[in-house]
Amino acid sequence: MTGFVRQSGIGERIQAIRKRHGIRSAKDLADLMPGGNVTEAILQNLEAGRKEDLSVSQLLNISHALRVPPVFLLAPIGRPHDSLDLVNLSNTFEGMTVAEFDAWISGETNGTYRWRDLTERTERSQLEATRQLIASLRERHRLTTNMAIEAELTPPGEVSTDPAIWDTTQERLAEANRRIEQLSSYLTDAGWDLEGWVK
Amino acid sequence: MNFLAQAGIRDRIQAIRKQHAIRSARALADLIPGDNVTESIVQNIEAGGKDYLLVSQLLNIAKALRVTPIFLLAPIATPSARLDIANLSSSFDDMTVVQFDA
Repeated sequence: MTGFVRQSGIGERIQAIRKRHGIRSAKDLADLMPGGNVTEAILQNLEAGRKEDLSVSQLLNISHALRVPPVFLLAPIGRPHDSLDLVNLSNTFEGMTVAEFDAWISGETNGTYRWRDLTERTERSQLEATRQLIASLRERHRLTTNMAIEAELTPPGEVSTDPAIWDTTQERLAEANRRIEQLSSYLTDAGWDLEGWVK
Repeated sequence: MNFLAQAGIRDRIQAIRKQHAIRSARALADLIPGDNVTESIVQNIEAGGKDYLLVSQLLNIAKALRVTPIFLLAPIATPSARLDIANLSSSFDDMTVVQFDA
C-alpha cells in the first residue's frame, strides 16, 4: 500500500489519513470536531469524491482533528513533482508542482517557489524571523533549565576557571538572548506587535 | 499600519490588496481568471458578509495577492492574538496565531 502522503485527491487523502490514524468511520471523525461545521455526511461526500471543494474552516477543522498539517490534505506531499490535484484553482496555478505548492504555502524564503519582488521577499523574511524568534525563545527556555541543573550538580568550589573547550551553557544562553533581542527589534521596527509574547 | 497585524480575514485581504497597489476588488478579481473568485465575491469578503470561504478561493486570492496563504488566515504580526477565523471547532479554543503557524 502506498502511504497516505501519495494519494491523489483531497477525499482520498482524508480517508487514508483517517484510517491510518485508527479513526474507524466518518462518524468517528466528525465526532472529533465538536461545534465545528463538518458533519458525517460532509465527510462521506468528500471521501467519495462527490464533494471536491470545501471551506477554509472545514479544511482546518478536518486537519486539526486528523492531527496533520493542512498541506497534507491539500497536496500529495509524497509526490513532489506531480501537478496539483485541487479543483477550481485559477489557471495561474498551472504547472505548479506539489513541491512548489508546499514552499508557497509555508512561505519559505529560499524554497522551490520563486518570489517575484522585494515586497514579497520582505514579507516572507518577516515570517521567517518570527519562526526563528520562536525557536530562539525555546532554546533560551531549554538553556535556562540546563543552567539550573548544572548549578545543582556542580559542588561549590569545583567551578573551573580554565577556558572551556566548547561553548558553555552560559555563552549559548547569552547568544540566544542576543538573537532574541535582534529579531524582536527587527520585527518591532517593521510594525509587529510582540506585546505579551516575547518576554 | 502593517497589514500583517490586521484582525479578520477581510481586513487582511483588503490591506494586502491596497499595499500591493491593486486598486479595486474588480482589479483583484481580474487577476483570477475563471469564475471561482468574482468581483462580487471579493466585495462580499471585504465587506465581511462572507464567512464561508472555499479553500480554492483562499488559494486563488493568496496567489493573486502574491502572499502565502497563512498571511490571510492569521494576523501573523500579532503572534499572541487568538485566531479570528469563523466556524472553527472548539478544539481550536485558545490556539494563538503562533501555535497555528507552527
